[in-house]
Amino acid sequence: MKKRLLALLLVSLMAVSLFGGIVQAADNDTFVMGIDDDISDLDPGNTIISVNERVASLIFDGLVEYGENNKIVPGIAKEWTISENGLEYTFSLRKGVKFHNGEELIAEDVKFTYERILDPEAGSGLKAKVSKIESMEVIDDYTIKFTLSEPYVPFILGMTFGVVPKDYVEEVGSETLSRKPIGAGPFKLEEWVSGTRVVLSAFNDHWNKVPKLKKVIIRPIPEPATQAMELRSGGIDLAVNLDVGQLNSFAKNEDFKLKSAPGAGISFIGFNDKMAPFDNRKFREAIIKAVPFEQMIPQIYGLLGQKAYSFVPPTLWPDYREYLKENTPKFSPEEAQKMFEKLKDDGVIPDDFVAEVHVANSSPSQVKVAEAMVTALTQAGLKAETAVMEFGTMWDKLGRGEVGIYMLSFVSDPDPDYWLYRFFKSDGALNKSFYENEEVDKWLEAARLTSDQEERAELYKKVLKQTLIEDMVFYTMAHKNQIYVMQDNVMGLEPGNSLLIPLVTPTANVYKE
Amino acid sequence: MFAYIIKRLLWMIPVLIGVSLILFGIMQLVPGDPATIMLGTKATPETVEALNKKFGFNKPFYIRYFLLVKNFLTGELDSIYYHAKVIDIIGQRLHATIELGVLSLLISVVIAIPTGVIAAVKRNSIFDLISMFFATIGISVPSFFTGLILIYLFSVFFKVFPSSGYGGPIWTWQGLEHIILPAFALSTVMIASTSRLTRSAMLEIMKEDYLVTARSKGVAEKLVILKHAFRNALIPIITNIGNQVAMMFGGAILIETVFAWPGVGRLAVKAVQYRDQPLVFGSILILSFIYVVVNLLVDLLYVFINPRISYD
Repeated sequence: MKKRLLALLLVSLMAVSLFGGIVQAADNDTFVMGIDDDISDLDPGNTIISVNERVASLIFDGLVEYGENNKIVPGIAKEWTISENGLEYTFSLRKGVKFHNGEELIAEDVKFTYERILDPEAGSGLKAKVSKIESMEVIDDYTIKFTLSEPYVPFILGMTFGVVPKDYVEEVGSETLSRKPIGAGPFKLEEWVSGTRVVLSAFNDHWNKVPKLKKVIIRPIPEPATQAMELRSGGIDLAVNLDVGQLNSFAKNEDFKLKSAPGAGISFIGFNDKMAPFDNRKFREAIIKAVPFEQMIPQIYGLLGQKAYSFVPPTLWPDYREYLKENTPKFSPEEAQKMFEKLKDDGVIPDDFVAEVHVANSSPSQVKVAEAMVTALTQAGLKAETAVMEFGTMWDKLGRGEVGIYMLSFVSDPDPDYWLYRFFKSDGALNKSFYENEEVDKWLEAARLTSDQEERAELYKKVLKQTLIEDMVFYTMAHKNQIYVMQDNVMGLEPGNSLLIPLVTPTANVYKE
Repeated sequence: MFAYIIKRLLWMIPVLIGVSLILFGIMQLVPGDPATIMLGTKATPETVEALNKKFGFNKPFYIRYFLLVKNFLTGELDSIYYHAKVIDIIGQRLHATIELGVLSLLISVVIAIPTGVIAAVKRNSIFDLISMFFATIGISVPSFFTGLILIYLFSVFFKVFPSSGYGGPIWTWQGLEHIILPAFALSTVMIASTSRLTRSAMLEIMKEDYLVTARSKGVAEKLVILKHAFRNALIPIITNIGNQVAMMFGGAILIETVFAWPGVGRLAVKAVQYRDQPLVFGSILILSFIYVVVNLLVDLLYVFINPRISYD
């Protein structure tokens, strides 16, 4: 009886194996990628969450695009001029650019797109990047002029936002656009099963390139271990958020390609400049000296990242890493110990003081760094513990100034202004260290007004030197890398410096062999 | 009986109102507002304010509660994070949750109850020892770990089933193929606990006098066990299964995460993470509703199993 059962089980297993071909669903025209979270909203004016942005960027195209080395290249706009005073941007659109519904993309659509983002009621997360727009003028169907209230050099990066079809959005409303997006990008939406998959198909009337991939399926797979196994079983062609351990095993496996690009992000430690004893520069310096970051970061991040010395990623100017590296305090536990002792004698560190290192649980690498950091600090004579919490809770505490030392990561677009202004300016939106320095404010403002890149680079170097070395309000930990692990037959896919997945771009058109 | 059902159904109203009040109270205590969290490092004070106004977070709390309830009842509740009607989002997910829950329930009942009965009847036999050994393992091993092992074995190694995802309704081949692994992983804990409970309930009852009487009357052993002993042992078993089923609908979060299963549990967690109050409100209320209904069904089942129980 038992033998018969066993035999039955085996036979049924084999029978199912025969149908197993279905598991390897993807043929060469279909590209399946696993991403880390549910897609919730595909309105390009709303894409404030990175997974949404990743998908929306395949459906929508902007006036300009990022080319090689993050250089801005023509997109829907074939050319543009900037007036002498830096206030007027005039774009000439290509003729015959089609939306997925067959309508032609004209200047009115562009105007409408930016009006939606600027609408104060809409609360778009993109608004900050284009808030300098004072007025927009449609000169003819293929020409549009933006007038700024004051010169703002990074403005051109805001022209990468996806253009939406005015008639369609006015007809169906924003809510429908976010569920049934229509753009002018290389792929159009076929099907969206919430929480399961988004299916895109090639848009053959795309103004620039006909995508070589006929179909793209995007599947949210939140658990990295599952994503790794999907890749091994052939269920997906590309995985983008694997753990360090999994990456190492894929790196050694010849059936898969592992490609990495120096990351677009920064993980850093911030000190509260308005909370004792963190407002004391000596105290901050002692903390940095007490922890062997140089050894820890490569061990913890592995393939996932590299030690950071500057706040801006290595792919972005100004190149100031050597100087910053030289001048950042080195690991020296004895010195740190002496400094902590002196600070205690001076009464800067109260007797019962415990440094709580705040870190979000959504970032496992940072949690590991925080744990190692706490051990090192305790050894150097400073009582410390980790405060691991959910991001929302931590963000709330940060906003209320209740956190003395915290870890954060940040990703943005390729202009130093995006990286530095909001963190280091006295009234910067992300200045959770409550750092105030008039000179830094002046430099940051000045760099917005001049279009001379060398002059801007000098200003940003001053900012970096002041904040990271002189005042030491921030300590830069790691630049995360963009790592793609893909099936061996995926061709032409190179990770870029941003989170976007470059399937069809001015420089790429991915296909499978 | 009919009057009883009506009474129980009416009782659900105050229960759900209570749940909604407690839920709303907890949501007020959780730090962070959706605008700041969703915008994260892209927030500016201006956009945060605009979003909070758009979501109505600047209104007094009793008005917000009233609006949540009103919009929930009329199906007008809008999710902040998903930019769509809460009812639609949950509707898209609920069937995946129900399919997974019902299939794992079937699997566990079909495996656990016979195992428990046989283990009790053949107490201390090899079968008893082995099955209870596995039951202990089943209770101790976390379900996400079982899930990962199953994926590795059946998807990566044997390449029999897909690793993760939802393939479609269960009656389609694709759907069935996708649901088998998560359903098994979800049922392991329930198989383990139900089979242990069945065994101990059976052992308890087999000591009863009426079984001795039945045997001495010359009733066949099979009948003694199935008709007299098993039927009476069913009450605690059903109670346990009822509790577990209710847990399954909301508590399958780990399994849903490991198998990228689009269920309501994961949705509720996401909603809490993003402080999407309308979605938290809607999904938890619906899960509570399911819980209450399952409890009612269990109570009604008692009557069918044991006619001595009467609610009239």
